Amino acid sequence: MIRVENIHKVYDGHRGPHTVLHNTSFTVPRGFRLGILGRNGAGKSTLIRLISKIELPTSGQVTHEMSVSWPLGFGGTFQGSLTGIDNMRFIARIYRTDFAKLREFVDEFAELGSFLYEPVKTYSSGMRARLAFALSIAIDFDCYLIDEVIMVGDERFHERSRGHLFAPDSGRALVIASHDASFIENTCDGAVVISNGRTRYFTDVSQALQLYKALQQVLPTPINQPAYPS
Amino acid sequence: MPSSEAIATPRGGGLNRRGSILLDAARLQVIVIGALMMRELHTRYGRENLGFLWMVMEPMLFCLGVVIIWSVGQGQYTHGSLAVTAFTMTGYLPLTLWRHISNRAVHCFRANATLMYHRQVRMLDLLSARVILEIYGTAIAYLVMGFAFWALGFYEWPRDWGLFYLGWFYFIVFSAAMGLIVGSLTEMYEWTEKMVGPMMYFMLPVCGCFFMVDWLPGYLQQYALYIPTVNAFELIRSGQFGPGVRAHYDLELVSYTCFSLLALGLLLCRNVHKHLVIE
Repeated sequence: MIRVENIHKVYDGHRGPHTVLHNTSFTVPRGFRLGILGRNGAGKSTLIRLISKIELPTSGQVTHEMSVSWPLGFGGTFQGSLTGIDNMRFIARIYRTDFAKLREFVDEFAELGSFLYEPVKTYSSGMRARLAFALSIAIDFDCYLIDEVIMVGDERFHERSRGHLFAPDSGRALVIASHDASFIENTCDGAVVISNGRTRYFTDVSQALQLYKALQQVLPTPINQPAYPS
Repeated sequence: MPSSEAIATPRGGGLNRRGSILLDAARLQVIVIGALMMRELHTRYGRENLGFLWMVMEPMLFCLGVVIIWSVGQGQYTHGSLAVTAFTMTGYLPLTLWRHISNRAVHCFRANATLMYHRQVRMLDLLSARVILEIYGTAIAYLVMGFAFWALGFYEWPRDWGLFYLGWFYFIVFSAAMGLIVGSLTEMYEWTEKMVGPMMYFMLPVCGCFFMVDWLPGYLQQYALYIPTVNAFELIRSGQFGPGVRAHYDLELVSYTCFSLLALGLLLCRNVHKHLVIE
């Protein structure tokens, strides 16, 4: 279970404080798949980072009662000047996993071949995401936080991650931020819609999608004004 | 609040074994700091090259240069009977430790923000790893130089190892505190970054590296002891030279100043995470 309780996130912008998230609460039980919907810049990634605890909320609290992955997306995770292998070794150490096993799995799954001996900064963003994905699957978390990377990689990689993470019997909880309405509809058991700092939680994904689609029609409202009463 | 949580371990790992949570967190922290040290070495010096050797060579080259310059200027002894080698080594090596830790702490959280993707890595672990690495580097540099100069007959080992270590201990606490304060403040307030250079520079003449308190005019001596590094240098040199110098230090005062600074640093470091924006 992940508990998100009354979190509030304010960034210090150049033009004064900017509220990204307002008073957000929900829980993610074991095995539950939660979608996060919102337009570009609505705060999806921020919410994912707050759930993962790598960023701290301005107020409120996030509690983990199961193991939660780091956010899987395009950024973070690796030290660019180190090779894939060195990064892997570091991650094996801090997650207390056996390096040899981890390596074997990643080799097979991410298919990066000899690129593993090159600095990560020379990787394409797709390769980076593949490596991060493979590592996190090898470490085997109870819950995966996925930020927009579902479409990463080629068809083959896609298939395999689907098998490991998105298959209904994988037993893993997921929190997925995405624009892709149909993906969320097919995968998730519930969804959060973010707009202008307000969040709404739906147990019925189709309702969430309705709101999300309606929001696409509306012109962007000025920042910090709720688009709809919450 | 445990400083490292064992939550993100693989399934069935660490958590919920009653009674051992604290121990497990401590074990994890040791592992994390170790991994960070390896990572720091690889990123800083690369895999090829001399690697860790540079860690030792940097302070050594610096100190060696100063020994040579001083020896040319003053001969083998300074202020009567103090060996130039010993006086320089007890001055410059602690100084480089402090300088390296402070300089490397500037924006160090920002530069390593991707590490924060792994929540068992805390800000404090990052700085701890660096401080430990610098201590290793400085200690080995001291040993290598000491042994070489001793073999050549320019250096004698400390007379009182207890006082010598005690001085180093305070110096390390002070340096670690400065690292925490500099690292946290530069992350919170941009302008503080510009202050680090001047501050280090102005501290140089008063830090105690170049003088013994006994050489100061009487009215200044009591004030000098308010500077923590002055006490630390006095202790180190008192241990090094034994009865050869008259050392002035105030253990109560130096404990108070060093640990207050450390407490301040730890508090700031605890808060800095909130100020960090991770890409």
